[in-house]
Amino acid sequence: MLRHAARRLVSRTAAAPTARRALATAEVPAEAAEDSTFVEAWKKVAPNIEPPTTPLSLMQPRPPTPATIPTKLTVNFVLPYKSEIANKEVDMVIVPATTGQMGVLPGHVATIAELKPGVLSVHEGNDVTKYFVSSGFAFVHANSIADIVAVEAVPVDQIDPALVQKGLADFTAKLGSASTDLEKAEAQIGVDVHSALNAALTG
Amino acid sequence: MSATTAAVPFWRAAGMTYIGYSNICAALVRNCLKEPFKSEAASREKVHFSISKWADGKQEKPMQRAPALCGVWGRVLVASLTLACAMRGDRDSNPGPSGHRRCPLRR
Repeated sequence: MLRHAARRLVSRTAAAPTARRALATAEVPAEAAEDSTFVEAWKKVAPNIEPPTTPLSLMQPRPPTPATIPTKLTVNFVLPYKSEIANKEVDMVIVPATTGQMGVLPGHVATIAELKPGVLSVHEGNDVTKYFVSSGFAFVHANSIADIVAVEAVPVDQIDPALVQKGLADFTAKLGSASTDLEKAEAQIGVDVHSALNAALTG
Repeated sequence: MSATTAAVPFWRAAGMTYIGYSNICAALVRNCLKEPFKSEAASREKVHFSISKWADGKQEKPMQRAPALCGVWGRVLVASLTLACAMRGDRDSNPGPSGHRRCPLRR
């Protein structure tokens, strides 16, 4: 019975519009790592039993949006099978958004960008690291943290130019001979991806 | 109430979902890698699934699909298999409008 009470209390606190929402754009203060609402409610119901830890208390509080623009951008770049960049402070990242190459500097406005196949470059001082991203999303938060997620990302020097040319020729031919909508779409995707790979190799 | 005049990407207009588009892009990029990266990446493309038809509320013997069907063409094959099952219209493999029949192919 007490277990159900805890569940109901947790769901009620989860419904409250607190600053935990990742896409909140208003400036929010850092939250304490204890779930105070839950603990108070628990103490009222069961004062003699230790309150359990809730997911909120185990979560790291979201870094606050500073009053002045920070000097560095914190980047997290993750793939489904590994974390490529984790909490790295850089000067700038250029992401291949569907609306064009987008440069993200510290203090960038909060943005969600869908990525197209293209080159993602991370600029740190004089070093530039380039990855070819197949597709994904880039979330830039107001506190100068950028989260980039992609399905597949490879360093540009791991791409084989001969295979790219062959693929481009193949898919261009398929695009010419495609009949159904689905075939046309797939051929178009092939042409897009291979052209982007080509541009990444030459550019 | 606005009409749906939002510009949809060409792949969505052709019936593809974002996840399908994203997986196709990833598979194409993996195909263009140099060795040895290409063989390492090939293991990421493998899809294991088993299909089983349902008849009279009973599950028949499942067909184990070997992980050979992977990547772009595996997806197309799976899509056509689902379409074939759906279009055949038989009560066995088609989840009826009542919804209590479990769909055999979970993607």
